Amino acid sequence: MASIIPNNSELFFEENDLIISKTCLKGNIRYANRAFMAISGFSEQELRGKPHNIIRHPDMPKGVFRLMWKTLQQGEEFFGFVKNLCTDGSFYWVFANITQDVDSNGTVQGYYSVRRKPLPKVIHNVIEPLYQRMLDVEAQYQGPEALERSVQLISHWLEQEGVDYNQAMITLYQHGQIKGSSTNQQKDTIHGQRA
Amino acid sequence: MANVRNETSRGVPFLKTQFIWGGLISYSVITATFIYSTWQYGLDLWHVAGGMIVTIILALNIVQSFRMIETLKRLQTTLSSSIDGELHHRVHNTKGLGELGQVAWALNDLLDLAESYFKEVDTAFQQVAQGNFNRPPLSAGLPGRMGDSLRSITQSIEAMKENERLLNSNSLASQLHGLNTGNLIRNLQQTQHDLSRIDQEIRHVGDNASQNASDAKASLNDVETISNAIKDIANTVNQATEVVQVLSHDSAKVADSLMTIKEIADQTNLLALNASIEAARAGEQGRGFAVVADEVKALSQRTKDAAENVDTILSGFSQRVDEVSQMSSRSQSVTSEIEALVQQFEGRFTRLANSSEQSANQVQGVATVIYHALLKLDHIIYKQNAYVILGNRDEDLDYSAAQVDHTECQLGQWYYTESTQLSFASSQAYRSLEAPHKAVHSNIHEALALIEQDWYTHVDIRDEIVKAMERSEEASSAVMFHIDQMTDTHMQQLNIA
Repeated sequence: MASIIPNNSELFFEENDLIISKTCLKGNIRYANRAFMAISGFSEQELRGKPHNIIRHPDMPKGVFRLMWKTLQQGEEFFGFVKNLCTDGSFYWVFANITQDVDSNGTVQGYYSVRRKPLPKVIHNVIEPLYQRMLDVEAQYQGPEALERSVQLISHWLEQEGVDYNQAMITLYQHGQIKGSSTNQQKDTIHGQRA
Repeated sequence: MANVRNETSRGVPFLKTQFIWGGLISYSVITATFIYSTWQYGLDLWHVAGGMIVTIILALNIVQSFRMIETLKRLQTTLSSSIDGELHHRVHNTKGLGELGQVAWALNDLLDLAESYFKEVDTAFQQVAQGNFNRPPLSAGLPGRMGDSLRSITQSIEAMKENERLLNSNSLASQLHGLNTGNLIRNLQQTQHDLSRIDQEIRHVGDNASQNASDAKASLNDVETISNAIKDIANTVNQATEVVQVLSHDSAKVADSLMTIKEIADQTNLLALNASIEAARAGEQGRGFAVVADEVKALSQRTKDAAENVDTILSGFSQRVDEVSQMSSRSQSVTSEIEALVQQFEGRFTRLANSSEQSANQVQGVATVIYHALLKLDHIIYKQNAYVILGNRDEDLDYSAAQVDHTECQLGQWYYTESTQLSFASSQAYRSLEAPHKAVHSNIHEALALIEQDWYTHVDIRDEIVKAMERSEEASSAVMFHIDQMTDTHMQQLNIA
């Protein structure tokens, strides 16, 4: 397949749209909904059976996907802000939630990914600067070390913020920032307790 | 469910059978029509062409029909699986099936929504079960009642979270309260003990004071007796002086008498010389001897008088000496009386002095007990301040009371004062006091730092807080023990323990 040349045109989807896809355990696409096809420009035939990184944008640090697989293989859900590539080279940002797809016998069939519309200010203020630093690190080092250091960058950032990764991502998605939300909740409780 | 058949459709064949029979009948009719028209009218190009077109269209229709039936079957299996609770199946490959494709995609969309809904609900409650209330179900993109339902669940989880926080905060408060109550009662008992000790010491001081008062009264009586005795002695001494003056006068008289006797003796000597001269002249014997004899006679008379005189004086003298002797013996007895009184007096005075010293020591001891009790009380209040801050975290509260370190509190200020350091320089208890006192403050500071963290959701932080306060209480017991020891040592030094 001829590789797509990315350009700077950004596409947006509606706040109430859900972009949904399912993959097998290896990450090959088994199902993509119409919202997926509409924004990415790929047809069902072009998508089915193909690895999900068909829509991976070169601006995405590899460390994020490394963290994603690590999280999913531990049986936990993964949240992440992801920049995706369209067939015409344009891009769109999503807030992805990936969970295990479990059948009625309890065996893991694959993965289920729901993407929601992120707040543009989160992408601009938090995610892009973080990913840029990760990309810099990945360019600076070779092979597995590059990935390790890239993931470490996220860990250091979370240590400074004092929250775990999924928590940070949900808070960013819901409130647009990490600082301030948890301490406010504590203060509310104190007043509730005294009342 | 899948086995239940609608009674209305019983006996009516399925669409596939209908299509197969319809196709077969159509083919049979077309073939029969073609054979009949060829037999009747001969082979005609239009008949052949028309028959071919109709046959091809019919064949295409049959193929589409089979695809439709396939799709319908997939729709049916997908729906059946969904009815069985498996929401992950989807209907694929419906390109070109028009309305049926739309139905298939609508089903896919419905399943997407249903699956997303249940996934959100499952994940959120799984996290809640693990104690994480910060993963609410995300309602974006879920329309109508689905979205409403997720928003209600989010509210419920918020309520559960509040409840959990309240429970956790109550649990911490009750743990701290239990810890505080136990230790506070112990601290108050110690204070009670200190107060009863002060009471006891004060009673001792009171007893001493009343003993001193009665001793002083008795001493006053003694002093009167002594004063009378001394007056008596003064009188006796005056009398003795008079007697001695008389004696001195008498002794002058004796001296006079002795002079007279000396003169007599001289004259007698001279007479004896004259008599010897007269005796040598022998001739005139008569007259001379008679005169001498008269003179000697008179002389002896005078000597006799003088002797008598001396005798009288001497007897008076002896009488005087007796008087003086009597007076002296009386003085002696009075003196020994006074000596006894003075001894008694001295005994009382020594007792009084000792008792006063003891009273002074006791008062000093009581002052120490009171001061140490105050230091302990301040230490107890410091801990209470910490408990109050840990129990009611509010910005209005004054944190500074609990944030002082072991050199800034009352106990610390006293401990590090130069005079304290000098007076307890050799005290083991004083040296041992520093480490536990420091530990009390550092552990309370640790608890105060932990209470700033998110202890509402983390049980380990709550445990850490309680543990820090337990360590603080343990160190505090050691502080109390060493202060008591310092008090005891001080009392022993004052010899009143």
